[in-house]
Amino acid sequence: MELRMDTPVAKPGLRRKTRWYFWGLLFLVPEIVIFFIFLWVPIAKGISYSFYNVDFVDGNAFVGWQNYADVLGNPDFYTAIRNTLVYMGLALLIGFWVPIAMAIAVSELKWFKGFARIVGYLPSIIPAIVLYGMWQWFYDPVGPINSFLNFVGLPEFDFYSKEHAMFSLIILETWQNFGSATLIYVAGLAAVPRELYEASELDGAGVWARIRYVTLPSLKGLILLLLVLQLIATSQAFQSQLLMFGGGPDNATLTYLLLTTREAFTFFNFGKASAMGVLMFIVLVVFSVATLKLRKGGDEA
Amino acid sequence: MKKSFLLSALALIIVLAGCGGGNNGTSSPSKETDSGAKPTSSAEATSPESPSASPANADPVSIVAYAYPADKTEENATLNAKIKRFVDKHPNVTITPKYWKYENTEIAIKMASNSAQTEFTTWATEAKLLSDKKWIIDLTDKLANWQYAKDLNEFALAPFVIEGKTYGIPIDAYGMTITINKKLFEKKGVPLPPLDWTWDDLIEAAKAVNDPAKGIAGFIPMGKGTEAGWNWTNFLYAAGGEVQSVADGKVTATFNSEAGLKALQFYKDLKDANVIPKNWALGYGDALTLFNQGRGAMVMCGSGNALDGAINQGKINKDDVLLYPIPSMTKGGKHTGVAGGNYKVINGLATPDQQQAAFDFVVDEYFTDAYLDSIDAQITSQKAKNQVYVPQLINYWNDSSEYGKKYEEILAKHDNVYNYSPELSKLMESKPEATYETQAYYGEMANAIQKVFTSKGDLDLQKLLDDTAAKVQKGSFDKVNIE
Repeated sequence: MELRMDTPVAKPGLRRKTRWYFWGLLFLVPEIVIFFIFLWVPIAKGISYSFYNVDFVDGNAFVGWQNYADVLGNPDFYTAIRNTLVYMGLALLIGFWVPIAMAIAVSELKWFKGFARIVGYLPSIIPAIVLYGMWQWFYDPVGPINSFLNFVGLPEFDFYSKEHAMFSLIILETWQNFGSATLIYVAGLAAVPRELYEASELDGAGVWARIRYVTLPSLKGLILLLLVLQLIATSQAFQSQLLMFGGGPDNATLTYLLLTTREAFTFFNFGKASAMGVLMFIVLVVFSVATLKLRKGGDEA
Repeated sequence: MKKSFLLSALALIIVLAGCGGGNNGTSSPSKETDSGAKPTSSAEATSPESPSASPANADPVSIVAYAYPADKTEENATLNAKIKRFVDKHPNVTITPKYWKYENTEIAIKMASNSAQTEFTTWATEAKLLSDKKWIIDLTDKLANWQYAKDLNEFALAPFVIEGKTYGIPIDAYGMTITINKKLFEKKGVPLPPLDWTWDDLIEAAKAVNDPAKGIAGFIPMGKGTEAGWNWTNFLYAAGGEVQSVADGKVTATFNSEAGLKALQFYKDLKDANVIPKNWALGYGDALTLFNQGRGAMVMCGSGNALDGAINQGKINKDDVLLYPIPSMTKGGKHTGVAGGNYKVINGLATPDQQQAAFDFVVDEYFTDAYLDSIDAQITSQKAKNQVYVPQLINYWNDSSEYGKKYEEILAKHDNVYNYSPELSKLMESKPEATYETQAYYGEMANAIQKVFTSKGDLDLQKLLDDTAAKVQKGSFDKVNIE
């Protein structure tokens, strides 16, 4: 019997390569089509609309940079940027470390680990509309928080004031979202080799030293990734701002995306809203590229 | 490799952007001329005999009617019966009921996707906006061929008459009132204020019935969203103020007048007296919910709407809620409040045949006994559910007309119909909402109101009003083109 030396697929040279690519591309087609229709076309349309006065009946009229000029000339635009930055900063300060602490606490537990994980994740399951109703009651002057403060003899806290409104939202958002981030950290912790802990314990490290020298360094990559994700998510926040305070009082919780939605769906200025979207898009792209570069630099170092 | 990929992606985006722009620029106008060419022929063909039956050989037309949410079984049954009666007379028309309730924040999406009903219901504030965008059609010619057009209540029709053209058909209209929870007054042993009340009476009553420790507010003004501005405008009107003036094709903000200052000072007084909820962030629904829960003694709303909700959803006894006019600024002054209402309009994106059919369908049973019978049936079915029918204060017909009297007779037959006190109607004065960029004004005013509700200490109210007026002027009023 003659021995076949070549495999049926392994045709030499270019043909083999193109064929290989052809099949690969074929499998990618559905994804490309879906991405094209639902992602790239809307992005491209968004960019194009930002140069038009959008009108469904009479057709769009090209207005050049007018929408951008209007957006930049609107004082609320700067208020919204400031508020968004404040919100992002507060979310970092108040909310970012909560899931890390929670995950470490859960993983240090000897019993009820699974139970603690479920309890931590529960808030994320509550539908938004119930959530806001619930927090409206929590923050009410006669709600549970203020009743408690009254009970222990402390003055009432005004969650709805101009100074506190953004803070109130951060508490609500942190409470709702820490569960899913905790789960990610818990998964990350599970990947830390047990030997490291054992070695550190042999070296006489206590709980704090273990966290400081083993846990946190092992989570560094994950923490950085979630940091970037949180910054992107909080820069686009508008749901709780809209539903709890409608952007008020006196625009204190007017975020960038809320202003964009307001332009689009309250005032029907779709061109202006698209222009705002494009500006946001550019900032986020620059931010993403910068973090990628930074992370690469960090890795090489 | 990466660079070239990025470059090609960028090129793709630019090409796409160009395509998108080109499409939008060229295809839509052709659609416009398309629909623009047709109306003459179809209007000639169908409108003369429109209220009567269609000719047997008419082209088939299908339209979508404005239905109610699925749980409103009674209203939907009434609509379906109406559709059946219409289709029997016009066999070429197919009507599909579809539920979508008009929302000013959703209409643009519905129009962009052309998925709004062929005929839908909207509010008095929307006339200018919808007609400017050509999302609704001019009905002047169609009304000219309709025998009952002259019988429509002129006051109710007014907001939809713009520069001599009529864009909507009134269903009902309201004037703003203040609804009072009588039980809270009785519990505290506070006498009810007189019906011919003033701003001072309102504050005094609110102070007396106020109980912050229990979370009960004397008065619940709306403070979130455009409805905040809408609520405040009642006091602007009561003080004799105007939102805007129109002269030489230019709209000028006038709400920062002396009247505006007085109205804003009144809001500041409410805040200083601590008679409003600490949670200022109350939209329309939030404010009414608080009222229904007995957490506020007074709330401001269109005619009987708050009362309707309090009785039928909040399960407050109908004798425990009372309607008051907007208080006058000083004794003997006018009780002027904002007027608004519901209107039927025809979708501007529909074909002329559909538009004609939709118009015929909308007015089919106006001024007929069938309409009155359907109200009769609705009241009867509400009685079975222990509910109270709260009629509108103003309807599409004139109360003094024959038809108006027939309607009154039907109401008189039932014992589950809310009766407005005749003194209330005598005291109430209703003034239509502003015509141009009203939502933008309401939205901007909401910020000023929130500032008043949340600031501690003194505020320069005149400056606040001036700043707000300047912002609305520059951002919205200056951009209005009056032809």
